[in-house]
Amino acid sequence: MRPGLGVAAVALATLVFLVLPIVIVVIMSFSSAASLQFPPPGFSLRWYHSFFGDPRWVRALTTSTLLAFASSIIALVLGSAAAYGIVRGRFPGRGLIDSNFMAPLILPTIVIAVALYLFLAKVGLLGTAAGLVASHVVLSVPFVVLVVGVAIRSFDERIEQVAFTLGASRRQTVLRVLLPNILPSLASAWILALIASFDEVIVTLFVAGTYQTVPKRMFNELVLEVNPTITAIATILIGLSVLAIGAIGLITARRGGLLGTMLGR
Amino acid sequence: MGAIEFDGVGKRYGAVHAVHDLSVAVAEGEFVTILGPSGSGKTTILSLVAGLVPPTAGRILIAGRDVTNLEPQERRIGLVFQSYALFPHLSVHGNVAFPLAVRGRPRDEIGTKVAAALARVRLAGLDRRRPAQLSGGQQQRVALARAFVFEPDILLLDEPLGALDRKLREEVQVELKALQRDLGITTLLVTHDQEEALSLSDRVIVLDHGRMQQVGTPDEVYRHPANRFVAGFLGLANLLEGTVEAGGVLRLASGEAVACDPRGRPPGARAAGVVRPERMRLLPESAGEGLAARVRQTVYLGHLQRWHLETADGRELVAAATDGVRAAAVGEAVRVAWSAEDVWLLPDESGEAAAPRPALAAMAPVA
Repeated sequence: MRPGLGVAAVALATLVFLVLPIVIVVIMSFSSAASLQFPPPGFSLRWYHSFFGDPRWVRALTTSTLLAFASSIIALVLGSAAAYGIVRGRFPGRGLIDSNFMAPLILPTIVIAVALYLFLAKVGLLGTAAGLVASHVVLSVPFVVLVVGVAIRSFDERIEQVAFTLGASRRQTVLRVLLPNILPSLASAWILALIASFDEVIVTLFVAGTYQTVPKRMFNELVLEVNPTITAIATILIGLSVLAIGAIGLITARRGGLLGTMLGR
Repeated sequence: MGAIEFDGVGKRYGAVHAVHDLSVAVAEGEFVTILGPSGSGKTTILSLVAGLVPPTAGRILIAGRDVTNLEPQERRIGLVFQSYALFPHLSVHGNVAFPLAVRGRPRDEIGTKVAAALARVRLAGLDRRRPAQLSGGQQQRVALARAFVFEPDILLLDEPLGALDRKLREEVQVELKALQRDLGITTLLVTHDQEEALSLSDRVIVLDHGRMQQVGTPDEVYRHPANRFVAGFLGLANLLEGTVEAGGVLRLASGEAVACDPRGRPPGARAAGVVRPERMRLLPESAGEGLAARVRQTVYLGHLQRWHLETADGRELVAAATDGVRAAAVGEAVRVAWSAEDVWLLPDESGEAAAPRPALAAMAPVA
């Protein structure tokens, strides 16, 4: 049965609704007007100059980038180790631990933000770089556990067992057999963790103290005044996201896309 | 090189006995097959020897060394799975070199040994290929080379020919047997294929429901099965139940007398005799010997012709002969006869319906 005209219209409307705001933001970021107006009276790069010319924005961008790299790499290492234990381990309570790692995906972010705020205050890490990185690790680790867990689960355990019988230690088996075979999933997981950290605003607002990340600054700026510089930043963020998704698509293309990888193809 | 010894080995999963009180020894250099239907526990036994799962009872010795609590790495075994479990990211050379590389052997030694192993399985020249670029038979030989290149004490093969098509399987069987003999390596193979078990092994262990039913040479287990299960699992078997009478006669329920060797059974004892189909002779109706029967179905197998018969009292029998020996059409009345020495009285059973499996399983069901 072919979908009717009505279905097609709804699909088109949804697509327009999703894409149109993004398109408008991108167009407006190249506006020459001093205030937000659409359509723009002319085009210029003034808002990009305004962004990169402002040391506070550049500092925020540097902080965001460092934070994203630090937290995503830590999340990748810890999350992959956790995924291996959850999938291959034979201890009781694995399901519980698995759910615990997934919790940040399901719980409202504001709840996690409050919880992290109280906890970090208690241990004296509130407003510190270490506390901020740890918070972002908590938020990005579910993506790693999910993607890497599925990759390990779909890798035939007998191949690892054969490696054991051939004399390889568990460490040798993980490094020489498992990791090379799940490299694409590791890369996807890392990129997802990177984006999760780079986009994050709610938890950062609670725990970052005086640290300014790009999303946090955007949020604070919007509270004070509507400055078109925001559209330039938004366009940069959109560009980065598109690049990241494209990269994941390329990495996992052979396996039927990220969704296919996550569903064990 | 060494022997394998099972000493009261058991494996329980909750209330289920996957392997129950297994005590048997495999001699050095011997090729032993564990034969059983799926779910009989044969793969569990292999996993126990490999150290992939711990036993819940008993000890396992390899080359006189108690390995029960050793890790797989310390057991010096070469393992081949049915799925081959090759390392997908490594070349043929990388796969075969793996056990030597993880032991930190020098590069030139690895090169020499890998080349020799690949030549031994006729894969020389393919060492740059990835497993995905090989045929099933080639992958199987890579897995084999990888399993013996580091000179393990024993070789464990889990249905290694199961994924190959029939013609290739027969070729590989011959090669595998020759390889095993050349290497002189103690080998334990697991299969559900009775032909494979009979053709490859020095001895066969027949397994059912986690219990060893019989251990013996291929002709022992085929010709002198220990019980109905073994008789039925190793090919078609005609089961004749009756009462032993003086003078080497088994009196069937239908009244006919069957000549047999009573093997010490006193007259009056109930007994079950097994006759293999190829020992049954098909005679014309006018013949003066044998049981009267009617041909119910004929099965043509090329090298063999099989007749499914029904006797007057409704018992099913199967006779087989080389193609062209005799023809009998469906519905034809015939007589079927056999020699006394071709009747094997099952030693373990009284002939009552004592077997855990229904007698039909051994009564030559029409496949």
